[in-house]
Amino acid sequence: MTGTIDFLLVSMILANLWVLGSSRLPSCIRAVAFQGVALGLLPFALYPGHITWDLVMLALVSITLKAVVFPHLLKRALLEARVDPQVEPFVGHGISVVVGVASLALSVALFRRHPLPIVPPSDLLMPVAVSTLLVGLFMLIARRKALTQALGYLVFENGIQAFGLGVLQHAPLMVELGILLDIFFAVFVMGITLFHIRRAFATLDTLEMAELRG
Amino acid sequence: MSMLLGLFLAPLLAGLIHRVKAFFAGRQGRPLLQLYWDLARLVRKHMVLSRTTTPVFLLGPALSLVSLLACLTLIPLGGPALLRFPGDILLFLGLLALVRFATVLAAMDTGSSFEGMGASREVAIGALAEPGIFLSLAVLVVQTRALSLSGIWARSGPELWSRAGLVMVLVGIAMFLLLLAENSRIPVDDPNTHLELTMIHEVMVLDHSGPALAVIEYASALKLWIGSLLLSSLVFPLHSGSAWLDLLGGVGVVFLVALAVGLVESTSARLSMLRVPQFVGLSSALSLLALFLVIR
Amino acid sequence: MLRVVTWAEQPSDWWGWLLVLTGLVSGILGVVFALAQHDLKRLLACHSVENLGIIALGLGLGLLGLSGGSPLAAALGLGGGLLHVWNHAWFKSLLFMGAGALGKATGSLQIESGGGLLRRMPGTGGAFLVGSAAISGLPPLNGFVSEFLIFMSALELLASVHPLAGAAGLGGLALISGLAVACFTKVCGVVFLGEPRSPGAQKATEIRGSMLVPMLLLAGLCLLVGVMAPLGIGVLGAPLQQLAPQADLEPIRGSLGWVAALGGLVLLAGLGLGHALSRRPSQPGMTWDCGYSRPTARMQYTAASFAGPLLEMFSFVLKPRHHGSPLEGHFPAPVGHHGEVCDPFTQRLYEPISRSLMRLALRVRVFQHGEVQLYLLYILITLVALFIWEAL
Repeated sequence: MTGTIDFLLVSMILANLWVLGSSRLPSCIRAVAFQGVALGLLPFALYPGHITWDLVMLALVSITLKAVVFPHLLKRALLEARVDPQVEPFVGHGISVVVGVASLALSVALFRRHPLPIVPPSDLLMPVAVSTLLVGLFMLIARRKALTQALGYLVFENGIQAFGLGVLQHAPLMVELGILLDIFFAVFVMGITLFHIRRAFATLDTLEMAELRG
Repeated sequence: MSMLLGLFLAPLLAGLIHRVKAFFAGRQGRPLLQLYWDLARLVRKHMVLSRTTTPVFLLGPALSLVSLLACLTLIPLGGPALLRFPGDILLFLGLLALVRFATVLAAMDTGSSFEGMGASREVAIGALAEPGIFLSLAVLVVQTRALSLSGIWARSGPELWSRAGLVMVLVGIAMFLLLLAENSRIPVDDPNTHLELTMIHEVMVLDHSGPALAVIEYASALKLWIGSLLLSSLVFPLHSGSAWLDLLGGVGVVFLVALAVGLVESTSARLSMLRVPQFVGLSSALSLLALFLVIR
Repeated sequence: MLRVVTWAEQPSDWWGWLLVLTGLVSGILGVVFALAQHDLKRLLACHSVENLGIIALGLGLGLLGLSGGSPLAAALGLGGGLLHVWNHAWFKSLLFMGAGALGKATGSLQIESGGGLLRRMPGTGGAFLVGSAAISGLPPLNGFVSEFLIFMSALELLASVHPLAGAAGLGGLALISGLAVACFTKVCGVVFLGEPRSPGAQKATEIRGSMLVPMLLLAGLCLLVGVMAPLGIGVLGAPLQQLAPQADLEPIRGSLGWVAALGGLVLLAGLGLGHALSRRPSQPGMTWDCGYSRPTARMQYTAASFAGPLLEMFSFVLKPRHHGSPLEGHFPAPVGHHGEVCDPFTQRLYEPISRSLMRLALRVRVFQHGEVQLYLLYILITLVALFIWEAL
């Protein structure tokens, strides 16, 4: 089972690097969708003995949302708002990938030095979760477009969810669903807002939005 | 024995890649043995030496060829290598750096702006590829607890694949990408292009002619052989028990790698120069990832 | 630093980590800044930063080996660091002498005012080439031997007690040596090869023998240390015995023997083959110029363009500035392009600090007015304050 876990975790890391290194928005969206699928399958690999109906349902909902619905919504927003599909980073792509790898190194170092009181099912899980979280934050900071902010938020959330997988064997179903619903609305609102912002100001540049403050 | 095989078969590898590319382009392609004839003809020719040049111009190709020959003594194929000692990996990599140093200086010696440009790109790509090569070999070192290429060869194989398949896949991909970059194959550089401004390796040797060009051509064929051999011996070694079978299998894998290079070259477009650093950096990232998987 | 380490009973981890990280940062930044320099002496100074980084890296890995209980890694790292101190002294003095010779012969230390000097100054050029290969860590010269030891230490750590530090050291040192190759091919290529780029270089002649001999001696030393490396380990053996007594250096000595033998052989055979090539019939010609009718020395690739691609990748630390306008129209008027890399440390770190220090100093000046009584009062106040501090 370790092989499958490692494979899924490495897929998550690769998706992180992909998001950071890609210069086209559609490609970034695909990367995040890919990460969603890997994350959705992760519980089955981690807890093969505890597959229950609610777990399956949760995974299904999660995968559907993250791999189908969100990418679709974001792509729609991309098309309808006629955003230029360039990413426009503050920090270059090459450097961003270096940052991604560095975040992984940092997280590995962190968990080597301070092991958790509980034993997570895979010793790579926690570092990957934390580094995904960091990458999400980095995306929020270092990218210019509002759409990439949404993507960064999704990656960030993936990190949190992976972390949760390691800490709690079973997050209460309702909590998980609540989180998912939350993001769903976030993305939904983001899409609509993007559309309206675009109509009102003819730009999606967060720098220019900063000038709106009183 | 395996070294002699390398010396004889290296030019064939380049011919094979050409045939694969020709096949995909719907052409007949040049004969498999074309490079041998080219070399034989070049050796007999006179040279044209630019008035600008110094002895460095000829020393460059000579040193590269000799260092590559020395590298060949360190790589196992179907059996341990001729020379093996703990740390021979580092000497191997040092010799490859020497090849780059010598080739680049020989190119700069002509004072041509084209060759300066090629040299500049070569060192840029080389500097980025360096961490990738070191790290991917380091992964194998940690996996096999051996500090020499022959040691890695002896302990790598199906058993290692079943124990750490994912790591091996990552290392294999990283090394393949580096092979493409270091041997100026298509996504990074196009060995067949005809416009000086777009070349990397070919433009550096514009001014070499006759025997010097033969040395360079042979050296680059050897470099391709060495790169493929590294993949064949360290990542996909065979241990069937019979030395002859191992040797045959090893050579077979080398040709499979060349086939894969031909496939990649036929199906992918060349990257823009600005994207090349990312391509090379990807191999470092992959090997680093594999390293984290190993040490965590 | 090593002296202090021998006093301490058991070095703790963070010393090693601190050294490794400082070493990596100063190594990589040093060589990147060197790539951006076009004044030979400044470039070499930046390389000193890089080499000190390598030394710190070696010592750091060694300390981690000591604290983690891997005597072999400790001996290798400390030995590599120590050896690099020596090596650096040799090839760096050689290179600085070469820079001096260049300044004397062409009247300028700018790399761009060199060109074609190997023809005009074969002794200086040859020695400089050897020094460059040594500083780039190429076999069979001395720089390779010390980097070999540090790499081995990193590999040892990687497989045993401190894998992360090993990985960082390995990747970082690989990047550093790759960039060093780029930087020194730039220097050698632009200064000593090609066509003269300035009137000064056109008229340059070989420097006096008294300046040349030390350079040749140092170049010989670089080669000798490289080829005699197994014996060199013997010299390092005594201090290493003290630092890491349990380490068994025999296999390493054997490896270095092979390295030296194969490296020396490569050098000899390369020279032989080069000589054989030059004996082949040839005719002089012109460098291929793509059919352009009147090539001039100004059309050569410049040092700035050579380093361009790499500098572009590191532009986030270097912050290069470009002045110039793009070409316009079918028959463009002459345009200029000027780019420079300023030292961010001077501009962003030192200058603000020194400015604020000045302000602080001006404020403190109030206390300094020249009355002895008041000075004594200060002393008293300080003493009382110290006593209170102690009492608390």
